[in-house]
Amino acid sequence: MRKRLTLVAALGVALFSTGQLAAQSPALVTLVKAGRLLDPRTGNVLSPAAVLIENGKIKEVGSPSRVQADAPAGVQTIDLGSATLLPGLIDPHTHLLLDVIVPAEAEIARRFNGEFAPGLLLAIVESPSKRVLLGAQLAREDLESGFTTVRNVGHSGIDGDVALRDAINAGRVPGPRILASGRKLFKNGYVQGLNPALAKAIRRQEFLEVNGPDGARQAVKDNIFYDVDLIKVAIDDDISVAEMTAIVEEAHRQQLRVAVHAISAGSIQTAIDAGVDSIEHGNDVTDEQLKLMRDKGIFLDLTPTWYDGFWTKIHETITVSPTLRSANAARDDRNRKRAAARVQRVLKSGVKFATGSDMCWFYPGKTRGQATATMFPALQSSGMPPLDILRAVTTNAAEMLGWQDRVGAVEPGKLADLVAVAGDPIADISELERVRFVMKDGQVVRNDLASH
Amino acid sequence: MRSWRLFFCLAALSCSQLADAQGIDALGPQVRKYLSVSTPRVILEHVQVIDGTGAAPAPDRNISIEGGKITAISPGADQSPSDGTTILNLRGYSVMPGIVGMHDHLFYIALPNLGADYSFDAPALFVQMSFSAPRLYLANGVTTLRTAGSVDAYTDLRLKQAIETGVLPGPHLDVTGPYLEGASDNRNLQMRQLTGPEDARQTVAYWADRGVTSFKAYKNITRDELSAAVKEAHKRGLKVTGHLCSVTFVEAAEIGIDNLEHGFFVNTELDPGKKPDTCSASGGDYTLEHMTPGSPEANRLIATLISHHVAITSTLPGTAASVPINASVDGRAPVRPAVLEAMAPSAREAYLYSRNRSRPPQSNAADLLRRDMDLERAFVAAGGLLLAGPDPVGIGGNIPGFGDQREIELLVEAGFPAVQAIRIATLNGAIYLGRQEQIGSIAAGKNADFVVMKGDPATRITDIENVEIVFKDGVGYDTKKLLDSVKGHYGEY
Repeated sequence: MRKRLTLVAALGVALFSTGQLAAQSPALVTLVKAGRLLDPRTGNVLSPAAVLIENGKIKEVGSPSRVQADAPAGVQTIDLGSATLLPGLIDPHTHLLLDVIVPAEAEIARRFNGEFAPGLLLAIVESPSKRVLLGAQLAREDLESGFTTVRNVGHSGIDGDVALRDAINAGRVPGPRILASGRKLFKNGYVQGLNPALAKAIRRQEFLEVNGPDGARQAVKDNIFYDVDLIKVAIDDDISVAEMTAIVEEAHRQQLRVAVHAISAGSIQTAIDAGVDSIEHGNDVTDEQLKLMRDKGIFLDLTPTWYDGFWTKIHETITVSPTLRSANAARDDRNRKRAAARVQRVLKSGVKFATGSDMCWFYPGKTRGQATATMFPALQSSGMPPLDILRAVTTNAAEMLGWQDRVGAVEPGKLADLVAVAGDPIADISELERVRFVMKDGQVVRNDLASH
Repeated sequence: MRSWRLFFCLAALSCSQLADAQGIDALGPQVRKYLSVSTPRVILEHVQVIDGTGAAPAPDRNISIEGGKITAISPGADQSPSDGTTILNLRGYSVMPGIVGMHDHLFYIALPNLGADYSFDAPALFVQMSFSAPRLYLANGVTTLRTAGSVDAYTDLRLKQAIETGVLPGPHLDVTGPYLEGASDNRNLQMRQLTGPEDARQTVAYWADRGVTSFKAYKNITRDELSAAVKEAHKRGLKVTGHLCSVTFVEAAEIGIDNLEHGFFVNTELDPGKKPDTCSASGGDYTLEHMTPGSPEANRLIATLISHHVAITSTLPGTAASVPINASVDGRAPVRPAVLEAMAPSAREAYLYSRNRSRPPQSNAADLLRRDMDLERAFVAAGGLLLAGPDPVGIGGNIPGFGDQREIELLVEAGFPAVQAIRIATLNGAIYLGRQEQIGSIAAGKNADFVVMKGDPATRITDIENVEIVFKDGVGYDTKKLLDSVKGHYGEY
C-alpha cells in the first residue's frame, strides 16, 4: 500500500487542486434517520437514531433531535422508518472472479477432477478480460446485498481483482471497496491431476510458486509489482517455515498483511510459527494453536458457508441421484458437527476471529450477494451468537484488514458505509439476508424501505 | 376468613410457575423474528410512566431493565450505556404495565352458514385460535392472561408450554380447564355436562393434575357441583370463577367461589320465578334492571361479595358492541381498521352482518350496560377487587388484544379515572393471581412486562391503542410485526 501512496504522490498537484475545489464548493451533507442503530462493538442499540454524513464520511451519530440540530437547514434527509441501521458488512474472504457451476453428477463421477476442475478451467477457458467483467457483476451483487468492503483472496488472474478495485474506486463500475491479493502464493495443489499443459497455463496465470526463501520473497515482489493490498498464501503441508517466514518478512517490509489458507494442523502451525496475520479456514486448528494465535494476535478467518448443509443446498439446483444426495447429506452432517465444535472452541479460546464467505459458486436463484449472505444462518446454526456474527463481519473484520480506522463501525470519522435491515438482527440473524438499504461513501446504492 | 388467606398463599406458590423470566437466549426462531429489543440491558429515556397502581402519571422518567427485570426508575436523563444496552428515547411516549387479561379466550365462535339476516345453522362451534390469539394479545399489550374457559384444554396447555419454552410468541397463560357446565339443554357440543358433585370433583382433579391452573363454572352448574369443584380446586391452591345463572352471586360467594364473570350482568337473584339450581328465563337482566346502586339489595350484594373476597371481572366490550354508546352515525361504534385487517374473511363477514342488523337485539341494552357500569363503580368504591377481560370470541368485532384495550376504554366510559381503569386491567389481575410481587405494576424489582405507546392515555384513553413495543420479561416485541403475522387469520386459526 505504501507503494501505491508513493505513486499517487506523483499526482500530488492534481490531488491538491481537487481538494481545494471541494473545500470551496458547499459540503455534500446527508442525514440518515432510522428507528434503531445497532453498534456491533458494544452491542448497544440507539432508538431512534440519526447519522449525519458530510462528504462521504460520518460526522455525527446520535438521537435525531440532537443530530438534526447540528445539520444545516434543508439537509437532504433519508428516513428509514423503523429499520435497524448497521455498519456496512465486510466479507474478508471472497473470490469475485470465480463463479463455479455445480458440475453434472456424471461429470463429478466420471472425471478424475470432476468436482473442482470446472472452476479452475474457468481460469483459462474465459479470457482475463471476460473474467474481470464477471467480477464487476459479482462485485455489484455483493454491494447490493450490503457488503461494502470485501477482501478478494485469489483466483483472479494476474491482476484482475486489482483492476476491478481500481475501476470501482474510480467510479467506473459499482462495487464494494476491494482489498486485492492478486495471485495466490503456493507450492503445489489445485492442478496436479489436470492435463499438464492446462495445469501449466493455470499455474502461470493464477498462482505464484514458492520455491525456497528467496523464491518466496520474489513471489511477494511479483505481486507487489501489480499493486496488491495483501499477500495470500495457500499452504497444504508443503511450504516450509523458512519459506513462510520469508514471505511474511517481505510482505511486512512492504506494509502488506499475509493471509494464509491453512486446513491441517501442520499447515496452521507453520503459519503461526512464521507470524502470519490471519489464518483462513483453519478447520483442524487445535486448542493449543488457538491459544498461540490469541497470544500472538493472529486472526482466525472462519469460512462458515460450508457449516450448514451447503452441499445439499447447492445440489438442489441440479438433478442428483439418491446416492449422491445421501453422500452430500453425510458430508454436510460431518461438516455441521465439526463446525459446531470448532465454533465453540474458537469462542472459548479468546482468539480474534472474523468470518468470510469463501463464496466462489454460482448459486442458481441467488445473486452473488445473496449466496454470500447464506453464511449468516450457517454460522448461527453452528452455535455462534448473533452479536458475535455481526462483529465478525464488521469491527473484527475491519481490524483484521487493518482498516479499523475507516470501516466496520458507525462512528464519527469513519467512511459512510451503512446498511439497514427491517427487523432486529440480534433477534433474527437472517435479517442480514434481507438487507434493504445500502450506502457506500455516503451514496445510496439501494433503498427498499418506504420513506415516511 | 382464615381459609381464604391460606388459599391465597397456596395460589401464590403455584402461580409463580406461571412466569419465570425468559431471557433472549431461551427464545427460538419463531419468537425472535418478532422482537425489536433484544439486548440484555435496556434504558427507556424520558418516558411518562403510568405505573398501574392508580397513581398519577410520572412524566419524564428513565426505566432501566436488566435480566428481564426493572432495575431502576429514575428522573429522565440522557444516559451513556454499558455494553449490550438499547437506549430508547421515548419523549412523547408513555408506558403502562402489561395487561393482565382475566377473561381472554383462545377460541373464536364460528356460526355455520351465517346469513345476512344473522341466521345460522347449528351447531355454533368454538374454534381454537391457538395461532392468532396469543399474537393478537401480546401485540396489543397483554403479557399475562387467564383463558377463562376452554374447549380444548390439552391444546391450551401445550400452547402454554410452547410459549414458556420460547417456541411460540404469546403472553404468560393461566390455563382454565374445560367449562364446568351442569346438566341442561345447553346444545354446545364442546361442553361436557357434569353428572353430579363427584363428577365435578373428579373433573377438577383430573385437569389440575394435567397442569390446568384455574377453573370456570358455567350457567347450569348446581350448587352442590360448584361446591365440590371449589373444594377440590382450593385443596390444590387453584381458584374458581364462574359465568353463572343457575347459582346466584350470593349463593356462589357463600359456597366460596373466588371470582364472578361479566360484571353484574348474570346475577339472577331477583329474577322472577328463579328456582334453585336452575337458570332463570331472564338470565339476570331482570335482576340487573332492579339492582339500583345504593339500594339495600345492591348494598347487601356488594357487601357479601367483598366479605367473601369475591372478585368481579368486568367484560364490557361484548355487551357494548350491541349498544348505541360512543355512537357513530348508525348508532354503533365502528371497530378500528386494524381489527378488520386481523380477521379472516369469514369472521369479517360475520362481524359486518351483525353490525348491519337493523336494531340492537335488546331495546334496553344501553340502560343495562350503564347500570352494570354503575354497579362496577360502586363495587370498587366499596373496596371490591374488579378485574378486566374483554371476553373476545369475534362477535361484535370483539377480538383478542384489541378487545383488552377496548375494555379499558369502556372502564373510563363507565366513570373510572384513566389511571384507575389501567390499574383494574393490570395490577388488580396480578393481585388476584397472587403475582403482584412480580407483575402488574411498573416498579424496580418487578418483571419488565410493560407496554410502550405513543401519546398519553392518562389524558386521552384511546392512546392505549398506539402500542409500538410490548416488553415481556425484558424482551421487546414489535407490535406491527406480530399483527402483520396474523393479518386475515383471526377466525381461521
